[in-house]
Amino acid sequence: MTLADLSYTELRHRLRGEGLRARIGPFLVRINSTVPDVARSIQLLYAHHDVEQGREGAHFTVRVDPPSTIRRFIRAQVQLQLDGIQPFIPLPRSMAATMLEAGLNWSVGNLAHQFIAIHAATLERGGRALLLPAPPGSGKSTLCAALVHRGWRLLSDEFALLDPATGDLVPIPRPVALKGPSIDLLRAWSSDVVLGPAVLNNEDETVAYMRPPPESVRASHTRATPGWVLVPQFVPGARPEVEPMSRPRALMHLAGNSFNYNLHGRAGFERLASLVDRAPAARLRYSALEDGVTAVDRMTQEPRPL
Amino acid sequence: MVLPYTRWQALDSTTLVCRSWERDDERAVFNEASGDLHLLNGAAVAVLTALQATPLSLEELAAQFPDVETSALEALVESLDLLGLVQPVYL
Repeated sequence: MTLADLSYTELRHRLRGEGLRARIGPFLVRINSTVPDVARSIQLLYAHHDVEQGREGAHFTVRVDPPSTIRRFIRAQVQLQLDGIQPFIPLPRSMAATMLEAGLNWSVGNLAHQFIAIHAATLERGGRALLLPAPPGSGKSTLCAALVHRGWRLLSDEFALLDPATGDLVPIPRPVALKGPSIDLLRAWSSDVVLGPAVLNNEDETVAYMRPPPESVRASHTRATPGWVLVPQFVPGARPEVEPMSRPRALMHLAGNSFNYNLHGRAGFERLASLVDRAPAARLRYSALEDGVTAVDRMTQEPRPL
Repeated sequence: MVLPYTRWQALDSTTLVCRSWERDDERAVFNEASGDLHLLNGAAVAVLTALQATPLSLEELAAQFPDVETSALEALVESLDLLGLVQPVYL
């Protein structure tokens, strides 16, 4: 059963009561919320995700509700709780959906140590994965969203989840966060792009989430082999430029963007080293989105050494 | 300032895991004890390897690397100490 099979009334009932249990990649996540914005956002952005019946068991529990103090009467706010922890300050109610996504990011980044987690957008084509490890503001999500509508499967916009036993990348397709001008850019990029409402975040940036395509969500169990590492950098006015990266530097970059590789000790290091053994790495500087996509196509179509 | 009577010893090769690649001078060195990862150039790797083989004073190290100025070797040893890859052995 997918979330789209639930009526809005049933969805709200679950969110207010025992919790909505959704399959998000390898995780079963319980979501609780009395806030209608959260229900509407989930209904749109997670429409293709599987949901489970019953109330028992979940890897994470994410709760987005008004704070319990008098603050709720002063200004409409929401508070995030993750298995009882409150990692963030309360935020305006208009940011409820953003808070839910931040809560899921926090949970995966801080609790999912069965995987080696790297902050990277991850896509797949022909069984091989493209990793885009980069900090916020680098254009990672915009490029990722554009590639998803040019034949790439979305594994994740936030995490490369590496199985430490096999080195495979585990999909966790979720909504892609787009900011500022990227929202209109993607709206014009493809008629298949489905976007949630644009809201202001706590840094006064406009944020809208793009729904992951149904094919990507349906393929949540299909893993991918590392194929390429590309570090994108959006530079206004820059001509597209791809600069190969040495393997030691690629390894340092992946480690620097990893939340937990060192918790896996030597095995975590060896796994990252083996990833850069197999996946050639480069830096991409670009300004126009079309140029970025063309550069990715060119890099990933080059013959690969055996 | 490295004391002249100090010998230096690198962490052993079971604690430091090195990965090198053909055509790349730099190496990735993982310190299993701390969980830290370092990027070392060829000169740093050569000094580290020498200090893994046996503890050496700066003078002894300079004898092994006659083409490198002692001040550069001293700076290199201090950097490796800062990274926690070598430790002093007092005579």
